[in-house]
Amino acid sequence: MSRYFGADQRAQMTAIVDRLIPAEGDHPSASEAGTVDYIDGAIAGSKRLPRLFSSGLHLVDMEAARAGGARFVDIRGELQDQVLRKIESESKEFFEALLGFTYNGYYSNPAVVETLGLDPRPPQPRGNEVAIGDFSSLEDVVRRGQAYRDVT
Amino acid sequence: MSESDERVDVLVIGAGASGAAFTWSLVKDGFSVTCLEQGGWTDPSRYPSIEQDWEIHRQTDFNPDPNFRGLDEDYPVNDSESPISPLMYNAVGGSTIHWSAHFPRFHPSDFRTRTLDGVADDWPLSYAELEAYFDLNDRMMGVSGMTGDTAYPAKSERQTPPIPLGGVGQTMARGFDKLGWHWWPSDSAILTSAYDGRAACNNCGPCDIGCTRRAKASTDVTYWPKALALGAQLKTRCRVREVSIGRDGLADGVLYYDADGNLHEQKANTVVMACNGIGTPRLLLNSKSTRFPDGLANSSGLVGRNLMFHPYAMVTGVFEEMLEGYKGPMGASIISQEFYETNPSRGFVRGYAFQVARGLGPVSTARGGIGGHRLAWGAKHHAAMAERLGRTITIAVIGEDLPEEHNMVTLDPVLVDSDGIPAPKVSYRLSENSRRMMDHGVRNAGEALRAAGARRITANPLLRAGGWHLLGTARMGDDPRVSVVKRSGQTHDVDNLYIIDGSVFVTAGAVNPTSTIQAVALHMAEEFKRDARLMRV
Repeated sequence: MSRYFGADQRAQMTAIVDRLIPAEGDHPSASEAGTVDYIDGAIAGSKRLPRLFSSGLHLVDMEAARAGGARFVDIRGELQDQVLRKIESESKEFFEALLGFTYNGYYSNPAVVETLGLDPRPPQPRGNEVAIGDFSSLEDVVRRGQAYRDVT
Repeated sequence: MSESDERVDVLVIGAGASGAAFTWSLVKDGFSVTCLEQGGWTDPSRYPSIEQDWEIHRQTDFNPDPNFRGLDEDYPVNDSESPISPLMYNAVGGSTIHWSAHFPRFHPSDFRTRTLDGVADDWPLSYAELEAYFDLNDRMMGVSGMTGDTAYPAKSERQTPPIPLGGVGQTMARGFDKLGWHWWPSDSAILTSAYDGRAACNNCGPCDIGCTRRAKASTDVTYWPKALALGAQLKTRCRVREVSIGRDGLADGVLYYDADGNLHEQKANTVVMACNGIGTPRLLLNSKSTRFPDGLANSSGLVGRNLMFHPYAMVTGVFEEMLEGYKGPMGASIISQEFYETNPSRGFVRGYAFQVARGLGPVSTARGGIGGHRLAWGAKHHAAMAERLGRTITIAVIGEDLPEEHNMVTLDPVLVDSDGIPAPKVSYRLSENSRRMMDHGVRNAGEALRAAGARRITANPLLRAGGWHLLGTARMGDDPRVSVVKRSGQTHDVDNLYIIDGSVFVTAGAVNPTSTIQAVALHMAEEFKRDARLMRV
């Protein structure tokens, strides 16, 4: 199904995004919510992203080799986090794109939105009920008097 | 090389907030008006708020920054020498397509800063003179709100009741009440009941990706249908390259590119510019000739200078209780103008306002919204999301930056748009007065949020993606040495060239400017019609 990622990159991406957003309680992990496919599509449809991700993912494996002597997918979770923190501080452009797309993909998935207690539908056409509210304290504002300067 | 279009009488450039109001006013009284707009029509029924990935569109085709959006009808802006990025939308309706429709007016004092505070300059116009045009414009746009605001002279009845407070507005009102500070439900150009053939808002939330219901007043659904019915001609996807000058030194029309890149010559008896505070100086500076080597209407040297943005700071409080801030129009439900007018004891002149903004959807919450911090990744991510989603209130502190000549729009020597027209560059720095003002505002916004019950507060002292308001770059005044246009909008240098957009602002006030931009444009239209009738006699 991949449009951009090869099998190894897909496995690596799966490991990465699941460290970024792990499963917890009702919340699926990022890969369970289809985020790798989402990012795959975003990269395939972009001119700029393929190069950014190919060098970024390469860097992730190099850091993993330095930290744990193996590929990213083969080191343990805590070490993986350490690698990602290093990438976060040293390869900002790649990391922020990676995390941004992970958040985009994860939180635009209706199943995820539902786990947040929200109605998983677009804002329109139904809209929302919002309480008009209580405006009675404006009497106090009025009592305090004119709040602008007169101009002659 | 170019196709010649038939000569027209009045040619307006730009179909946004001011161009729409001006055109309508003229055609209503029998004038013949043609408008050229570089963007196209947008289709409200297809705005992304009907899509599951609606929040993503904020980063792409509805990104408020044209440099990120990069649609064919956009032009790039070099903002590398500015801490604030200019934002705009290019379409019929202009930036009213993606605005939040805050609709406060300038205060009377805003037109008299020299007299009252010894800074900037007085306008050649007053609040009293504009009042009838504020009212007329309110009726045309449809404004929700409540009369009796103590921060203003009495206003006429608002068209519809205020937008709902919801949890965010109610909570924040309590905070202001506790401190004894001014607040009022904000005037918004968003209908809360049906009006003038348009439906009421259904509180969907994201006004910035376009309003499918036409409840939000963008000029493509307010002024333009009326203007077109009265005979106005509107030509879309026409990007003006320059205003051409005849042998008599008068404007003779414009050269523009159509959507296919073909160059057209459009002759006109009068040219009216309504391209916003970046687009207007860009076009004037691009209109060089032997007679006007420094750009058109620029004998004062002030075209492009005195750019004002309104610096914005964003102060966010996290609350224990669920406020459902992602429901309801995203912009200000309430506004506080406690610190609007000058108080010398504060250490700065002029002032600022608080706009209480609602919360964000899940994607924007995770990414930190405009100018906030993105949520932490990893083991603590879900807890961070649960803490913030629907439980934040953001106070936008909007300050009045004063006109300074070194803040300016120039032409970039390299950057061009897709038709090869030189693109603008903005150079801007925050003054010491503005910095002190914003610091004061950030402190007080924090105090208000604490009074409202926030348990944690973060602040972004100057929002980069905050250049919504583009003002001052072709200021009005009586003296041609220090201003570009007269109060009528007529340029001092070229009798049949007018500027009617936010470029003409002398000062910026500390409120969103669109209500005042349109009132000024309507006032200018009235003077234009009067002068034209006198000429005929």
